[in-house]
Amino acid sequence: MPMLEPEEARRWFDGAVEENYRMLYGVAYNILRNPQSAEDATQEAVLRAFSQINTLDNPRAVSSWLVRIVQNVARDMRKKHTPILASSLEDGEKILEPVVATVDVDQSEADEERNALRSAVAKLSPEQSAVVTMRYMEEMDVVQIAERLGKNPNAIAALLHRARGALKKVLVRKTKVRIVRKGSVSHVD
Amino acid sequence: MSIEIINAFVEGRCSMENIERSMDASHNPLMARAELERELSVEAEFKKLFATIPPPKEGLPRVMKALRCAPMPTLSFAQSETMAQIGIPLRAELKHIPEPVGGYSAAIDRLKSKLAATPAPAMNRNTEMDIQPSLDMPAAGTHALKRTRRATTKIIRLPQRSQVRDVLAAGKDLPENPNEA
Repeated sequence: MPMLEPEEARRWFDGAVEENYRMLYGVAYNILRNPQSAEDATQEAVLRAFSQINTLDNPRAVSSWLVRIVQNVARDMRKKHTPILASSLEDGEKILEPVVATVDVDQSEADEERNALRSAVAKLSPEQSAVVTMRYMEEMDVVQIAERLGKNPNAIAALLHRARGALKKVLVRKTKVRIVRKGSVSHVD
Repeated sequence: MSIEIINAFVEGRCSMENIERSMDASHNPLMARAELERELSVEAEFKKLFATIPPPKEGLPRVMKALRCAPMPTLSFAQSETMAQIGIPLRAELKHIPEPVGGYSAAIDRLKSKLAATPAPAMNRNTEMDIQPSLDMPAAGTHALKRTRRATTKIIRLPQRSQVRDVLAAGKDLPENPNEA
């Protein structure tokens, strides 16, 4: 039976990290909503995963395992830095974007909607989060995602379907709120 | 058109032809199109959500640098075996192919000089268009084969009704062998 030398095992892990880095960063960003924090969380998670690599039961599921660790690290970071991150949670991208003099109602509503969606993505299970991120961030299809996660394409399709359903609910709710708001504004006018 | 088909299309499990066909077959194609457009707008919203994620400043190189400093933990036999079976991802493998001594250009020069020093091999001068009897002619050499006589089954044709009628009209008996009729 073939065995890996320590250096080969290191390279194997490097390859897994290279392959999944973008997705891991996306998962962390949706939880923390700050690029620097997301980067820190991803690095921390990768190092933690490497130090615990001997606890990885199924090396075929390394992507799912990395996502789970990233989610845990990012959630811990959010809890620890609540005072800082609470402000970024409310204002989100406003901090990063240049401040505009006029208040664009549609833009703020879109931001609000996006924040709500990010919260919904952050609440997904690690596997659902990985699937959604690969699908929309890396534009991978079901078969490619299945290959990456070492799962059956049907299982991935089911995961994606459930995740989309959860996110769609949030989107529909927000759209309804927007329609009601616009209706009340026009009524007052 | 059912929502399952639309979902299948949006999730990449069904083709555009399928969706067009089921749209045509539905009771209300306009409604079906509107439903599809709504789903696609939701899909676009999701894509937009991920497209607005800003890229990391330092990204992967920073992580790899930190990884190189981390000590390698000992792996169990089963883990090591499974990892070896999965194989090192191709990208990492390609990155770690060592360069030839003196670089690629020096290696190519060495190869060229070796080729120049090697005597040219004897070439087959036949072209593709040359006729090769044993291969090009399917019947070549068949004259040497011994001919065998084939046995054929005799076909018995039954007499036509008109022929029978003529025989009977002439006041003759019908022959025992129908072929003689």
